Amino acid sequence: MADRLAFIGDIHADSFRLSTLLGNLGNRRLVFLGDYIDHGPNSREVIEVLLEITNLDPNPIFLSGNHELGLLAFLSGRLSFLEYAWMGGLSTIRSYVGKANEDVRSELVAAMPSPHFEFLSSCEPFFETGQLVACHAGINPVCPESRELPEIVLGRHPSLFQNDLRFSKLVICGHYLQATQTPFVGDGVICLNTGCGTIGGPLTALLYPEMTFLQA
Amino acid sequence: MFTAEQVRELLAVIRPPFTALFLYGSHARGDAEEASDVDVLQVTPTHTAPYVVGRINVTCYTFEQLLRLARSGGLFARHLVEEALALADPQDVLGSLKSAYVVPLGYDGVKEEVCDCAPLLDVAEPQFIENVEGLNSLVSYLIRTYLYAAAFDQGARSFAMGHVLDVLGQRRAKIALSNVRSQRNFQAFAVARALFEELTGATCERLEGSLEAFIVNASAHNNLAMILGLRLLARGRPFTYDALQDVEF
Repeated sequence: MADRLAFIGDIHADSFRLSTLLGNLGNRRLVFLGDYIDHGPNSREVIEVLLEITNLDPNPIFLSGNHELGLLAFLSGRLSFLEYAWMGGLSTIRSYVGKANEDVRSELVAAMPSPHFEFLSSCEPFFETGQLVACHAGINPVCPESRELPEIVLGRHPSLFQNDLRFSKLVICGHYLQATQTPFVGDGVICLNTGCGTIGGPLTALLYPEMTFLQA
Repeated sequence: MFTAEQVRELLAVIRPPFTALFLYGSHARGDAEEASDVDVLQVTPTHTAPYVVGRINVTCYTFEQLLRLARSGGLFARHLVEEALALADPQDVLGSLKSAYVVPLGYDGVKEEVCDCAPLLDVAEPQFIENVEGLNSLVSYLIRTYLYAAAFDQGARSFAMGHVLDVLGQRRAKIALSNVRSQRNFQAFAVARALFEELTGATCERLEGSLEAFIVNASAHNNLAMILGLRLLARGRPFTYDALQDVEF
């Protein structure tokens, strides 16, 4: 069963689609590609749902997206309110503090339950097997061996979407919005960000090794 | 009307990429005065922050955003479909917007949105001095938008401010807007703000203890207040999506 995987694309605070999709995935190891929060209305609920499934057997893998790192950076004062707001963080702040009064950062720090903070801090940068590598932003085609955060979580590599790219392993990522609301399937790259929580698109899972898609 | 030379100068300040460029506002209508800004719409492939170069204000929207505005009958979409002049439009974006544009039943929604922005103007003189340009632009924008909405509800036919003020019988607003632009001091701003309160019936008092808190709360129900608030905070600095790249993790 541990060999049967489901990779789940960007959720962006749509807890309804997340719960629906989880109900249809069956018994397999779940690998979440990051961007659980921001833009959509229910960041707090999404983290609650993900916390509820952390003890599944086999353990799900939670990867970091740039939005999780953005929230952590805002909480610690390394990202400004303005920068986090531009990332789509206002809805996340509202989902935790309800009504803001004055010092937004302090109010968010106070309102966020410890398990949520620990969850965000414990997300992994990538998941790799002999056949595939999964990470939020994909690998940099110029230096495909790099597993550094700026490359595989925060980076932008639009050249991944050239159809003739081939790597030694299949690359599975989210991050890059597919305006068609369908996953991108290239020769060596699959992208699962189909607009959930941002443009009203579905949440997409890739079932592996079957290589079929499921959407909610 | 713009000469070929002026168009070349305009194109020289545009920061690519773009899929289409339009002139709108007084220069497109041909009723610009010497001090009038030049309003340009840049259609971009991805979300891009607006920017200003001298007197040229460049507003950036994606085609999808513009289509949504056209379908919802927004004021900006009306502005474009009635007045915009194409500087570059190889894919006929303007034609698509004209086809998609839906005439709204009225502009009460716009007026309500503008009224909800009133607390953004709740500043004392020291704060005003820190962001003269941003606050003057904001009070002018809010007054003008409210006047456009009110005038179109009363049968106005053009975005020319003179015509709008005639329809509403609001010559005082012209003086207030002109003083904001020419005097650039807190007194002119305060007069314009008082006029805004009088026109709209809104109160500029902010209940939250910070602009950030107001933006958070407003973002739940008013996109306009959120965006204008963020622009106010940004004070003209361009937004960079790569801010996270500079953070140590």
